[in-house]
Amino acid sequence: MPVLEVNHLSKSFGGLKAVNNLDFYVNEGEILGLVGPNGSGKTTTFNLILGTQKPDSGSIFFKGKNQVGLRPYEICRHGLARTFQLTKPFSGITVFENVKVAAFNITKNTVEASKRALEMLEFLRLSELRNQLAKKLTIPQRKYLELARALATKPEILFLDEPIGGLNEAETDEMMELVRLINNQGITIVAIEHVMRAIMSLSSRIIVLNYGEKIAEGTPIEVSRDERVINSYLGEEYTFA
Amino acid sequence: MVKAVSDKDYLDMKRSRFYIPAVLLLVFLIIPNVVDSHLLHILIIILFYAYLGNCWAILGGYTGQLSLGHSTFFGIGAYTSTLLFTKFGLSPWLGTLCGAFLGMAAGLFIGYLAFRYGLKGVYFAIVTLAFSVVLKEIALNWKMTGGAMGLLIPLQGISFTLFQFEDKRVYYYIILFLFMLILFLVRSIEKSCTGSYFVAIREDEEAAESLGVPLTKYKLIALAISSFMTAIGGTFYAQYFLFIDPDSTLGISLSIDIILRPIIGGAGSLFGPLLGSFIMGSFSEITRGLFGGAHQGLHLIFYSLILIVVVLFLPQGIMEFVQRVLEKVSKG
Repeated sequence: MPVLEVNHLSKSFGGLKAVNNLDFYVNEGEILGLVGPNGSGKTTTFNLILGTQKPDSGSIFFKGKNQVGLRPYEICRHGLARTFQLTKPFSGITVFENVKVAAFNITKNTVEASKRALEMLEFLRLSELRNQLAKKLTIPQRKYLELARALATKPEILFLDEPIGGLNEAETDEMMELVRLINNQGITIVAIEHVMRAIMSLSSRIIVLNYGEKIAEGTPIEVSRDERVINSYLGEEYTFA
Repeated sequence: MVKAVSDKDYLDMKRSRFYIPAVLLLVFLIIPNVVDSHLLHILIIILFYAYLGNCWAILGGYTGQLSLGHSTFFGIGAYTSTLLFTKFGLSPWLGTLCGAFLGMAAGLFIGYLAFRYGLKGVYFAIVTLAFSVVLKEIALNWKMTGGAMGLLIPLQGISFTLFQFEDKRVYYYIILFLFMLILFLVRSIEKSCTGSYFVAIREDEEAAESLGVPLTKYKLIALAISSFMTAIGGTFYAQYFLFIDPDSTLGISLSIDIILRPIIGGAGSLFGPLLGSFIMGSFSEITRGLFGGAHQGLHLIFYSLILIVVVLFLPQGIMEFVQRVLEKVSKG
C-alpha cells in the first residue's frame, strides 16, 4: 500500500529542469532505491519532499495529506526524517546532545528525550562516544550520528542521502546490515545511492532518474536489464550478478 | 584515538559544577560588608555587565544570532521606567515591568522583520544595529526624552517603593539578585528542550529544521527572553545613577560594551560573562589606578588587546580554557 505519493513534481533552477514531472510512490515497509547519474535530480527530489525547497508544481501526499508548502520541521513532525549526503553534525556539542535535539521531536520532557537519545546511541553503537564533541568524529561515525538523529525523531519514512558513499568495503557491509535492521523495525526507507552493489541488494524496488525524469522503475533485476538505464547510467559493461 | 568519558568522571564533573556556584554565592553575599564604597561600586558595575552579558548570550551565545543592537532594549527599559516615574509618579518597580514588556515588544518586532526571511549572521546584526541607531536619534531629538541633555531622576527620599537608596549595598544586592535570576534562567533553559533547540539553531540551521526545530519560533523566543531581561538592566542603570542620556543608554558603544564581556569570557557558557566582566572591570580599574586621569582611554587599548588575544587564541572564550585546565587538573 502506498504511504507516500508524489505526483507531477517539477522544479527548475533558471533554465535547468532539475526535477521534471516526476511521479512515484513509496510502499509501506519497503526499501526504495533512488539511483541515477550525477545531477539527475535525486537530492533535489529529497529536498522537495522534505520541504527544504519548494516545488514549482506537483503534490506530495503522505498518508493522504499534501506536504507541499510545509516547513521542514512540520514535515519532520509528520514522520518524515532524513540524513544529509554531506553530514551536518552540530559540531560544537556532544554526540549525546546532538541526538537529544532530535529526540525532542517526540517529547518535550528532558528525561524522556535523554532516554530516547541514549537508546538511539546504543542501537547505533555510539554509546562510548556520547560525551565526545561531534566535530571529533570520523566520517563513518558521522554517518552513524546522522542516522541516530534521524531515527530519534521517530520517523515512519527515513530518507537516506548516500548512506554508503565514502565508506570502505567493511563499513559498507555494516551500514547495509544496519539499514536492513532499521527497515525490519517497520520503518520505510527511501535511499539515494551510487554504490550499485549495495543498492541492488538492499532495495525491494528501484527508481532510475535521468535529467530529472523517471526513466525506469521496478525490481533491481528488471531495472538492471533496462536498455535505457544501461545506456544512461550503468554503462554497457555493467552486468548485474 | 577517541577515549570515552567514564560515568565516574561525568558525575565528578556534575558535582564540581554544583559546588562552585554555591561557594561563589556565599562570597558574593559577604563581600559588600567588608569592602569600601569605591570597591563596592566596581563590584556593582562588574555584576551589572555580567548580567547584561548573560542576557545577550541567550540570543548571541546560545542561539547564535549576533545582535549588535542590544542597547535598543536597554534604552527602552531605562527611558520607560524613568519617564513613567518622572511624568506619572509610577514606582520604578512597576516601571521595570513596563519597560521589560516594551523592550520585549521591540525585540519581537525587530526579530519578526528579520527572521521571517531567514536573515542571519551579519545581516541580522546590521538590522539590529540600524534600529539602535534610529532609536538613539529619536531620543536625541525628542523633547519628551530630554534630548541630548537626558533625564534626571529627582531624589524623593530614601524608599524601597521609589527604588532610591542611600546605602550602595542595597543596589549591590539588587543587581546580585538580578544576576542570580539570569543564571537560574539560563541554567533552566540549558537543561530544557528550548535550550537544546537554541544550540541546534546556532550549530546548523538546516540540520536543526530537518530534525523538527521550528527556526523562527525559537529565535523569537530567544530574542524575547533576551530583550525582556536586558530592558530590566536599563531600569537598574537609571535608578543607580539617577540620570540617563542617549549616550549612556543607547547607541553602538553601549551595544558593544554589552557584547564584549561574554565574547571574552565565553558566550556559550553560564559563567563566561561573569568571568569576562571581572577581567574587563579589573583591567579598567588597574589602568585608572596606575595612570589616574592622565591618559584617558588607555583602558580601551587594554580592552582591545585582550579582545584580540581571545579572538585569536580562545575563540570560545576564556571560560572554555579554564574548564579545560580544570578538567586536566582534576584528572591528574
